[in-house]
Amino acid sequence: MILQIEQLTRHYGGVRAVDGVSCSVEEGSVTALIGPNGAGKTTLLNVASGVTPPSSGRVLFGGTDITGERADDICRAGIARTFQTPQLFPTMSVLENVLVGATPRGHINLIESALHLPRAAREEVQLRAEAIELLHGLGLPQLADAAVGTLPFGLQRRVEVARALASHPKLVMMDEPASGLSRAETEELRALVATIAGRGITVLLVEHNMRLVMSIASRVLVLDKGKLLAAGSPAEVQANREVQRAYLGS
Amino acid sequence: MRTALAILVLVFPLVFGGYASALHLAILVGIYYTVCVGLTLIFGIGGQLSLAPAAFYGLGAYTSALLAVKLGVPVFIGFVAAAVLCGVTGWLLARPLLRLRAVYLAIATLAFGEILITLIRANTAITGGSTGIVELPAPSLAGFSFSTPGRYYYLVWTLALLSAWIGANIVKSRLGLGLRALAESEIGAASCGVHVARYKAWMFTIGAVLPGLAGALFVHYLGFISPDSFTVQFSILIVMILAVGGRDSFLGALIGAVLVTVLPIALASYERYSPLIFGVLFLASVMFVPKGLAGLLMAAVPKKK
Repeated sequence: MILQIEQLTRHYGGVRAVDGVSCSVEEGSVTALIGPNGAGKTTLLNVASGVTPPSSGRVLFGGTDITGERADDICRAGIARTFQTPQLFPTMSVLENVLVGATPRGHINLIESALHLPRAAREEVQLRAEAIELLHGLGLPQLADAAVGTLPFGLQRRVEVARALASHPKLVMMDEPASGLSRAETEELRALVATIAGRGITVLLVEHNMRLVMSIASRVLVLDKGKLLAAGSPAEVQANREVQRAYLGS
Repeated sequence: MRTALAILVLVFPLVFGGYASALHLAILVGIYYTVCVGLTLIFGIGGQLSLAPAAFYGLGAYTSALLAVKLGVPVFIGFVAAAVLCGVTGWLLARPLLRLRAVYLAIATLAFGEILITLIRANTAITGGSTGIVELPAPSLAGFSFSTPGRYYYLVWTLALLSAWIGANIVKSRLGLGLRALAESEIGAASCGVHVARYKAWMFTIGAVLPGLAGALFVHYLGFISPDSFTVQFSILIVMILAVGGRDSFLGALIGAVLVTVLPIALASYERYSPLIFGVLFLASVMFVPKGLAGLLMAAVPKKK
């Protein structure tokens, strides 16, 4: 198990957004986290990625306890993520956004950068070349110099995925990557997730689009009202009476 | 263009050396420019509006002046001490201050400067209070004294160009990218592995060392020091230089520094109206030319690939 969540609780005032959830993500899988609005999916992702500290419980990544660590430390440990509302750097170019994503791969200190010593220059060239290669792999090379803020929404989502991959993560968490995308763009997203999984990177995605979930996820976790309702293969989860009730209200 | 600027700086005294006022203005431009490079990193690149440049400018100036006058420390060692003290102060202040954002940060940095000025004015026995200290020695290195404006010019511009070079290296580096990133989305930057608090602390440290050095050079050039040079008006002057020249490039800071230094001379006969003219210029830049004169220039010059 690459990610294990144990008895995780996060409350905001009196509201338990996540309430004693235990679940895990298998290494190499594409795991979907689904549930009705307000089920606590994004909160769970935020806690796991260090954006929000938990109220109680533990998060283990590759067996190491990362509970409550800062977001940048968790990124350096090997978890990259995207956001429901992309948290890109709009005035910076696509290439620069991806280079920021490569931050954990740099090792140059301030003095070396300030004086532009040979090691700093070499690393700059190398990371830039890697970033361009990554953009090629995702079909974005022609946009390298475009300011991210000027791109259509679908492409911005793609850039955010590229940025996440630039840190060479072991696990990528995506928060509703298909929301706001057209049908064609959703198809492209499906292919993108398959590409990422093909590289051996574990994917955890929060998603509403059930068609998408059922076609790409190997495992599904269902949250409802802050609690884990079900976990299993897409077929098992679809057949689960409680899941049907939570979704259809019947 | 860099080379052209470097040559211009190098030959300027050979051409205008005969005009004392031209040389004096060029020295002031170099000093302002060094301060501006620091604020460009903090405000232009990192997006945090600090009004602390005047405080560090004063801290550096008083450090070097007091060491020279009270303890007889060689001025160049005083310069180093000023840089170190400002750097350490900047680093220590960065974490509590830079949790604040936008106008709150501006107010807190402003308060820091006011506290410092008040302490300087109050401790008359040490600082000379509001009157200040006169007869500061000129710096000298291995028997060579920077006692004439012609020599001081080269000292100031060595520091100015060195600051700009270091600033440009930082902007290109991982630190610079991280600063631009956190200016646009702190959560996004943190999730990319950017240690937001540490990046801001480095930025604030460099942004404290540069005005500190500039302030030290400034008072040993004038030969006297008094608190009036380090009030918030100086910080506002620096912010204005960046607004008019362009805050996201070091070229903008240079254009702005030249303009703000030369304009009062050109307008000397309308001196009464000069605050008004500056005010209008400031507002017009902010409202209509957000990228400043450097931005206009860059848009006019076709990009080379």
